[in-house]
Amino acid sequence: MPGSSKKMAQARLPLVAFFGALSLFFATLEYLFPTPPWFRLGLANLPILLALDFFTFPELLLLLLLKVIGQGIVNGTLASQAFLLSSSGSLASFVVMYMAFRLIPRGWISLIGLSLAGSMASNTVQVGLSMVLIFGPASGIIAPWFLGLGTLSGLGIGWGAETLKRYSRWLRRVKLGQSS
Amino acid sequence: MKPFDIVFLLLSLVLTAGSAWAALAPTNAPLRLEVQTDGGLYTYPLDTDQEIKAVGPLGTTLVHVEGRAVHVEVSPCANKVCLAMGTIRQGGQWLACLPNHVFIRISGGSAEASIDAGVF
Repeated sequence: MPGSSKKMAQARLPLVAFFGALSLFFATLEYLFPTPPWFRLGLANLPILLALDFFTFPELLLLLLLKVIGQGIVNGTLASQAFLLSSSGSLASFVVMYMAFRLIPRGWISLIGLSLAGSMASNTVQVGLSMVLIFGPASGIIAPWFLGLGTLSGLGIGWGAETLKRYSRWLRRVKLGQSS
Repeated sequence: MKPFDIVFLLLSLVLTAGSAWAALAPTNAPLRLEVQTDGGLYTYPLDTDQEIKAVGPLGTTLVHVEGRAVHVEVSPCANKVCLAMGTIRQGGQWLACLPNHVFIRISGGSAEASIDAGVF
């Protein structure tokens, strides 16, 4: 019934907004960790990883938009070239994570693998863009640091998301609320 | 860890190793100083003492070369990370001022030099 599904979509909108707010909160939390200025841990990705399970594709896209804009505001990069890099990275990471989540059977991949795939996609696209469009080929010298640190942070964030998914009662309640 | 977690972990490691190899591959070429700006890539000999002016969107980044050692002397950027990065001497080492779009790296050099680059 289109009417009831529309009502349901409206009921879920605050939840999308809440996950967007979580992304913003995690983007702020990143300042706690000493990282090189050109590197981000990607903590803001955690809510997206968790949301893959129960949001529809348009809802996920909306969440991604909230994350990208929120991150731009928190980091103060909204109007700079860095925003082009980070938003393309976020988009690439989302596309790869979503495809892996849909195409690979549940028992074969956990949030750790999804997070690693997303981190790899984001960092590869950012290094590629910075070499081709912004800083020139010499900036490729940063690639191994970017990809290596990205592997570590992807692993850590995936592990955190997987642990939350397994043990969080709140997440379970959110999920039950969705299906009822 | 599920099978595809391991697949993506291995892929990430291969990609990292591949990019490290591409960026820091030891060659027997003589050491040269490469300065990349918005205006293009400029190459200088490392054994000539000189001041190099790298012009970017914020202004001029002054690169000081003396006794085969390179550091950023003056930078128009706000955070001065490029100055804090200190002095580089060996192949594979680099300095960067992202706000002013200036990349400085030493290319060429031997295998043991590129190991030192990993200590940054």
